[in-house]
Amino acid sequence: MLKETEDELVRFAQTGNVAAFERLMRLLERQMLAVAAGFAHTPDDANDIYQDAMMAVYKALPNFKMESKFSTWVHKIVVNTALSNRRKLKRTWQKMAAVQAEYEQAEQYTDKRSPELNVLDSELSSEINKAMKRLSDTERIAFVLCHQQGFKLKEAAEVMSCTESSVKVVLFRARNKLKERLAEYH
Amino acid sequence: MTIPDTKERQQFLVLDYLYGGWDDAQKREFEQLLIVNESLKQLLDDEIRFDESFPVGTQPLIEQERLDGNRWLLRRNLQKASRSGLSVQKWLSGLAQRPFSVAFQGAAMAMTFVLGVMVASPDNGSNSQVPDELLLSAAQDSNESPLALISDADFDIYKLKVNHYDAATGDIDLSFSLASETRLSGNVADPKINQLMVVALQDDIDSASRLDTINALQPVVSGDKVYEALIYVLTNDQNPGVRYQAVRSLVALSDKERVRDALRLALQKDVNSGVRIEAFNALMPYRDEQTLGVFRVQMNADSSEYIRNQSRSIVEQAENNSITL
Repeated sequence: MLKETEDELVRFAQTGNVAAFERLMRLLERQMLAVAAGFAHTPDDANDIYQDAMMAVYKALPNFKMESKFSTWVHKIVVNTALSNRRKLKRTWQKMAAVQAEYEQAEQYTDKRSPELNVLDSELSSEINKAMKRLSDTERIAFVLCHQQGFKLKEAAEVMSCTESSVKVVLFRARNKLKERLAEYH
Repeated sequence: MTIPDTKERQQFLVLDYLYGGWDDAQKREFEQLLIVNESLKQLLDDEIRFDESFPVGTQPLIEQERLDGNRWLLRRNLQKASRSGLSVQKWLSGLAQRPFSVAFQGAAMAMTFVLGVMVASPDNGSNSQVPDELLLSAAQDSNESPLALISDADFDIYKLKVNHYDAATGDIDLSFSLASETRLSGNVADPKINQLMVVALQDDIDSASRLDTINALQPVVSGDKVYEALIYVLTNDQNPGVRYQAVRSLVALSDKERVRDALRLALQKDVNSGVRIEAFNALMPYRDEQTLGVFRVQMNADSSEYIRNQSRSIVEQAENNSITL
């Protein structure tokens, strides 16, 4: 889609035009759901984070100044929504996560360049899910953005509101923890 | 580009190479360093081995069906949000009809509205930017509105903004917000208090406050209005944590038909498996036709393996019993 079209959609959506907002989100929905899934306990949680974040985007849209890339701004909201939900409702989330973990399957991983063809086997997916849960919130953000979403360090720093060096430090820690947990696969 | 002297800094350089967004010249320069420095090469090889098992771009699979479900849900949430203005209005008028005889403490009510006002000269009221309906409700309904219960001294003005000022004529355009916090103290068993909380649960308070409110209502959950409000939350709240707390509170009242209706609805419709599992567990002891009907659907349709298996087993058990009888 042309850049102008996205900007136009943003401007329409800023006036409260729901149809324009929905069209705008269609451009980003798969990516944003994948980001939400990077923070969630289960696919259902990821859907909920996504919904909360999209409503936050809709409400905050009139304040978007078009100074940064729209997708970077939306990423920031998805990340903040995931973190704030976890902090505010920590105990309830833990109880709910325990119930879900007891009965539920986790996310299936794939290579985003050809998602349908490159689905990882369920054992490795399950190990990745377990390994991801060992990361701290900031390690997880850095890893989801840089490794899963392919962000450059500079872009991740913008979403995380910190310096590139800080992103590098947490990314380094995240990779080391994951390497340790997934040692038998590499 | 020089090779850093500590291992940690060398590792950071490797991360720059992998994630930094270097141009081709920078990458070539780094690759030249690898030829002369074995430890740097080893560090990179180590990282590349990890990337081979977990390549950059590996992320959760989002299938089309899941996208479609989220689109539908987002549309519903957007429609709900666009109606929320009406609901706040309803809450305010509902609140005005309640007796306010007790002292306020503990629960808080915040009302905010933004007015753009032209105040340059007394006769420019016709140029006001305030929507007519807002002005009318503030002026004409002042006796019925809860705003009338709060004295002028209790209002705070904040977020005052000069939108436009014409130095030549003195015309000015301002916008500002008014806020008032009121406190109510007493016991949660007091109907005046728990009914206020019940009303607030169905309105625009944030999710953490809704969760606190549900927890605080626990001792009086069997009250008609309280469990009706929890049913509303279970079937309407946007936040899964809040719905989950509501379903847990309702479990103890599953002997009530109204509650079972809500649990059955949650089992069929809630997108969160944690909520569905709690609803399912609460319904398990009930083998009436309506509940079995829902189990029959869920044994094939639910995304949770646990719910599918347990539903199937209950349905088969019920069918065997009816054959034996």
